[in-house]
Amino acid sequence: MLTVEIRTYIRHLDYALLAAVLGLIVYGSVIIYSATHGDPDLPSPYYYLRIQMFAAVLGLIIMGMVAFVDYRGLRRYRMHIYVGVLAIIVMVYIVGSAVKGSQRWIDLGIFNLQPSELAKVGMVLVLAAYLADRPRGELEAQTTLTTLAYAALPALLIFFEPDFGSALVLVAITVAMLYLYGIRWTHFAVMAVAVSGALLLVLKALPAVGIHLLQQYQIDRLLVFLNPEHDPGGAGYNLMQSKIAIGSGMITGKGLYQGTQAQLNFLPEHHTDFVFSVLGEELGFIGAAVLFGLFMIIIWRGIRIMLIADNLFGSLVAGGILTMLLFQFFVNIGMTIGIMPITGITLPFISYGGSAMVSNMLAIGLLESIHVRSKLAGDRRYRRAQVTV
Amino acid sequence: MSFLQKSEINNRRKNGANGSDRKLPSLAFRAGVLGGLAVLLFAVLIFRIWFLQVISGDDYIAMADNNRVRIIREEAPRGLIYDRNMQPLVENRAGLAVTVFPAAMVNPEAELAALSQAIGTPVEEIKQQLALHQEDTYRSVVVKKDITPEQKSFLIERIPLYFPGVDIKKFPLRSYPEENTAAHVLGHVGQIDEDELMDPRYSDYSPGDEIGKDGVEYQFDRYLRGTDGSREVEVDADGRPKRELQNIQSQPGNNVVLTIDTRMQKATEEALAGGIDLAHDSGYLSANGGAAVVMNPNDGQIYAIASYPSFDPDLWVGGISDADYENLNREGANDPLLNRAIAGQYPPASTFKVVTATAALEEDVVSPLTDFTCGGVWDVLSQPFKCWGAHGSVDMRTAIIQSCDIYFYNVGYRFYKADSLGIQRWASMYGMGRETGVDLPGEAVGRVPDPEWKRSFGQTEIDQMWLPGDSVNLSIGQGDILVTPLQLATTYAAIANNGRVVTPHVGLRVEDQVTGVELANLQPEEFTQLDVSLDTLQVIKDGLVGATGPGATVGDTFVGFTPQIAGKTGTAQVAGKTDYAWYVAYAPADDPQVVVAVLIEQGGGGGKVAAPVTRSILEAYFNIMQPAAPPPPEG
Repeated sequence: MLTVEIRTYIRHLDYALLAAVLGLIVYGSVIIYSATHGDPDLPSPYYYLRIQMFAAVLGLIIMGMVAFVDYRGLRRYRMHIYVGVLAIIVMVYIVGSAVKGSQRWIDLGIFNLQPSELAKVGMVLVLAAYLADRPRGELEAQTTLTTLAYAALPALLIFFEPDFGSALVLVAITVAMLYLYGIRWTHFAVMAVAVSGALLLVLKALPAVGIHLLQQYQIDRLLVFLNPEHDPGGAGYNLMQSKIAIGSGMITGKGLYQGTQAQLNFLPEHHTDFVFSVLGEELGFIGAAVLFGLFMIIIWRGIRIMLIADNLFGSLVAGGILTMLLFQFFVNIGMTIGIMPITGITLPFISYGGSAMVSNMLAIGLLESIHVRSKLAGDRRYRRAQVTV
Repeated sequence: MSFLQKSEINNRRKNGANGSDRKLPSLAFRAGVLGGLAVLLFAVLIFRIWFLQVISGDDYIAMADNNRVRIIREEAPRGLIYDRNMQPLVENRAGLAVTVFPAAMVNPEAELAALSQAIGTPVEEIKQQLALHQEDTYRSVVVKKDITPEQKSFLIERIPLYFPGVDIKKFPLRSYPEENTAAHVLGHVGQIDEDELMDPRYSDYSPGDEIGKDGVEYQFDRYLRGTDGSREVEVDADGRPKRELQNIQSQPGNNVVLTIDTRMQKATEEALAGGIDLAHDSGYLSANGGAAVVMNPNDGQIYAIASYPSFDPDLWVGGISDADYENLNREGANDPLLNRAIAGQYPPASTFKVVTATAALEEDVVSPLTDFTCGGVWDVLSQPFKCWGAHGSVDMRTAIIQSCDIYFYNVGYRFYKADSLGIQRWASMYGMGRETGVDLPGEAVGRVPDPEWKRSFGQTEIDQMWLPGDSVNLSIGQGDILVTPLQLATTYAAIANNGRVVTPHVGLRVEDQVTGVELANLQPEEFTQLDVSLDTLQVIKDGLVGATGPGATVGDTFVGFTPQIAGKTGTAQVAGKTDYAWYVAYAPADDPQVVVAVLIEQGGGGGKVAAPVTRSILEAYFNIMQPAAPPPPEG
């Protein structure tokens, strides 16, 4: 009996989505190996590759488990998840370890956990559950304000770690989910005015009276984006090297392991933030096109899952996850080619990083779960089984 | 019944109870908007990547290569300079140079400022060097040559962190095993400047190249200069070389062998310095400069050529500092950089009498036996001309021996009355008033005054006229005539070798630095044979031999000196200065092998100061270069 059920579930997985994700993981692993194997400080040329593969396998297991759990059950645990999200973020402040002046990781002995990554997926569930629980068609300002309040607490905590990029992702998720839920346009207009006012306050008014909410490097990064000549030695140098790497890849690339920018260390952070620059240099426009193709499959399947989900909660979860992936994809690649500021947002499934990998796989697991549930609803054998209850 | 099924049913029940969970009808539209946004964002990225990779790809390839490829010039060692006995005068040593690769600098202003502090070179100078190579972006540029070991270790430690574009490489530098010896002859090496780059002589040189700036280094630059090599290496972001892409070995320059004899050169320089001391001891306290030439009268090979004061050529190695350069050129240093032997111009005074004598005899103005009476003053003209003594009745031989001015005043006046420029003509034929053709840069031509020159030179109407006094003055080598010590040596060489005006030279041959094979002969073939009778020359030679005797103008300076020499003093009057002391001699008198010309600026009488210097030089010559042949075997 059980084996029949599992077989039914397996049959209803979204294989196109799974294949695209697996493709990205393999693709990313190759690029990470290329970017890091020549680092003389590593104990082994496979050091980063091994960790990334381990995270990927762990992520696949988690994805598999999540895919089989009924996501709808999570809805009831909204507050548990929310408290959990806040707890792990607060933990960072208490026991976190700092890297490059920013406290983002919790040392768990065998690996470092980056709570902000898990928080993104957690907040998708929390916000989707909250919005789905509103009485039908309720579009009052209170809903918008409560949603914003839910999101603001973890976003601010993450922002002050500081992790500007992850905070931005949370903002994007929140805005997108409010839109998908369908709040009034007037709310967005008020939000836009409020954000502009807040930015003016933070960047101009408060510094004028001696209060600095943004770290200087964050302001610098913003300024560099607006004017790359602002700091050619720091962030501007990174951006220039990234553009040189991608541009010099031309159509077919310099060949795997042959990228001079990547292999000779001209590219900064070449296995994390600037992993796409390595890909662009070594595999060229064709390599970039393959990456875009795989990602488009994910977006396509994600939107499809959003539409076939059998309830609003599922649609909102799928929409939130989709936004999370799309936003990170766009901002990360945009940053390597100079159309987005350098915010430290990584490329999902490609950039090196265990927490991100596991969190993203968790998100894919949720998409698969939504897919499976919606398919089961239309499956005759499943309906038969239901009749026998 | 499985767990999964149970949860499905639970959910279903809950959803049903709640009733608010039905999907909103407009969700599909909003999902479409999300999808559309995704497509738009993808399109933006793809368009931008297409622009970078396909449209501007070539530019970025160039920038990537600029990042990783560095061409490091490997300067070729210059050829060595040897004396005639293959004793090295200029060698190379392995120096260290600091290079900058501008493209690798992250923060050029700050890095250059720090580098400037570390190597003690002003930022502006470093920037000037970099500006020279602005268009050659792959090249690392030498900004400082010859750093100390301390500077090297200071930089090496800090290059990866603070100076990513900076590197240190080997750089061949000149060294002078004989220190100051022959400094004026050897010259020095320096970086080619803008004016020189415009010069067709340097058409195949590029900015930053080292060239010979003076002396032999300048003259024989095309032989001494090697062919630079280059190393093309791939470096990482920290500037560490990763692999070599190309390596073109440098070809060392060829060696130049000089006619100079180091021992003679040293002896000459010492004798000259001794002459200055002697002048001081004799009360001529303003004596402060001098020159001496030691030459083979038959072929013009220069054995020694000295100028006082001198300088240390090592100051130029790695670039002379502003302080050192100013010190050399300061007032009171008395132009140590001037090679007085070829560029100093002085009235020849009595040493010129041999020229007047030649002209007088050859143009039949007098015969050897013509005599004039010297009563100490010659007052034919409105202004009386004095002689240094009262010599009574003198013929030409006696006139040369006693250096009797009045004899030559008469001769000069006869030329004037005959409206003849014979003296000027013969002076020119002996080589005065024009370049001797010596293979050293910066030679002065001196001046042989004639009516035409006076017309063009004189300021007032009277100054523009050739007056009898001009001819009279010229006859004893005074007035407006100027010669260089080398011209005078060449003149006496022509007398010694029966009328052959040789081309003085310091270059002997060029040899391959590696194999030592002779590549070129630097000795000039040209000489001028004067149409002068041997009888004329014999009279003069007899006079010059007699002039070295105790009864002449040199006291007992040459008493007991073997072999017999021939020579002449000169005591030049220079307006506002103490007299300049000359002595010119050749030896042995009957078979001349060497000619020596000595000048001491403000040294007083030629006999008192210049003659003893000449004697020291000749002693050295016969000790060093012509050691007395062992006595022939008995029987």
